[in-house]
Amino acid sequence: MNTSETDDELLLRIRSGDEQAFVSLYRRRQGALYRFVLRMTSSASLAEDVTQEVFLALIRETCGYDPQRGTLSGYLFGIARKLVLRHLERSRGMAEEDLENENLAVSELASADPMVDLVRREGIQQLRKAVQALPRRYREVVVLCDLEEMDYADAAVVLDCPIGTVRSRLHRARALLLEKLRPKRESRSGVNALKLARSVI
Amino acid sequence: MTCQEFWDEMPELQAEAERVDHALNCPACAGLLADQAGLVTGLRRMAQDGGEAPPRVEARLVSAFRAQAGLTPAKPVRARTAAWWAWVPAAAVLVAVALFLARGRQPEPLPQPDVATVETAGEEPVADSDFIPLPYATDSAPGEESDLVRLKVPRSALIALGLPVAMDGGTGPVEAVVAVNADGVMEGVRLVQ
Repeated sequence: MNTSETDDELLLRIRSGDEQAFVSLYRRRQGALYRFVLRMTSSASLAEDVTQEVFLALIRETCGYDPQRGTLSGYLFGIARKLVLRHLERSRGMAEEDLENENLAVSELASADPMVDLVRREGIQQLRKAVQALPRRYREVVVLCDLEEMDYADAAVVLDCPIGTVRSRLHRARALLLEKLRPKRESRSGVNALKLARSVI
Repeated sequence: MTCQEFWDEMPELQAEAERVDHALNCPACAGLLADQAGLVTGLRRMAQDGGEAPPRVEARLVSAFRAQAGLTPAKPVRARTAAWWAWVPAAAVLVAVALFLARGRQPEPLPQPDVATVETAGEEPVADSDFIPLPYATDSAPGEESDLVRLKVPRSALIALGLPVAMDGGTGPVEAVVAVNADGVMEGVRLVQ
């Protein structure tokens, strides 16, 4: 197996029935997809189901991947995202969820020194909770760009929005995360600065 | 540059050099930038302990892929199968025609002529073995029916055929029994002594 093969080259072989190419592409991409769904939904079983469904969609003859419109990775994330959104819409109203999460009590997540805590296990756990508490549109951009290190162009394809929107959502998401992690007593000046940041969105 | 303008440009998403100017002169924005850098570090660490799909997902997908791969070439296979079946009626017609033609060429199993019973009116039975085959006559297939005709043949005609005709018995015609096949070709002759 040639590991330097691009996703598109593997896909060509997959379409000619090459099982090894399929396994290779799956192993290359499944982790990021699984983690994306897991961080978006906090459900391991759903992450498993969605990962499986994404690759099933790939091997179906109706697979609508078009290299002119983006990368194969972006296409796979796009399918995963649609399935996640469908799940979220089913489980509860998205508007309601966003409203709830925007108003999440900062004290729930705050600690004395969040930036120091972030390098410790409990700090990471706190950060994970903060990410999960983000409104969906901010959570997904953090998961894609910060956690999976996807570039803005690919993220824009996945999220079906302009690159500028990706950047502004990421900016806002980080501000929200800091706001959630920052202790109340220290947050006054920081919140003021964050309000400046928020106002640009 | 004001703080508003600074954050409008989303400095945490830009290169280090681009954010230096304002941040050096604004402790609040510098602090916020540092917090954001710490946040990104934390997110990177969080990314490291992410999981992967369990092995059973791969097993199920490979199984599905094999099934799909079996179906994918099935179209041409089905097409080839259909083409093969399409030839069956044509082949059947060809075989039928061939059988018909072959059967037409085969001699009909005609009733075996019982030469011993073939008699001309009022004459004695004639034996098959007494017939003298004529040259250039086609051989009858076994069982092919022949007609036996008693007639009077001029002696000269029999001599011309090379038959042993006694000249001392007169010059008149000689009675003979002629075997004629289904095609009307004379095959043999038996002289009636």
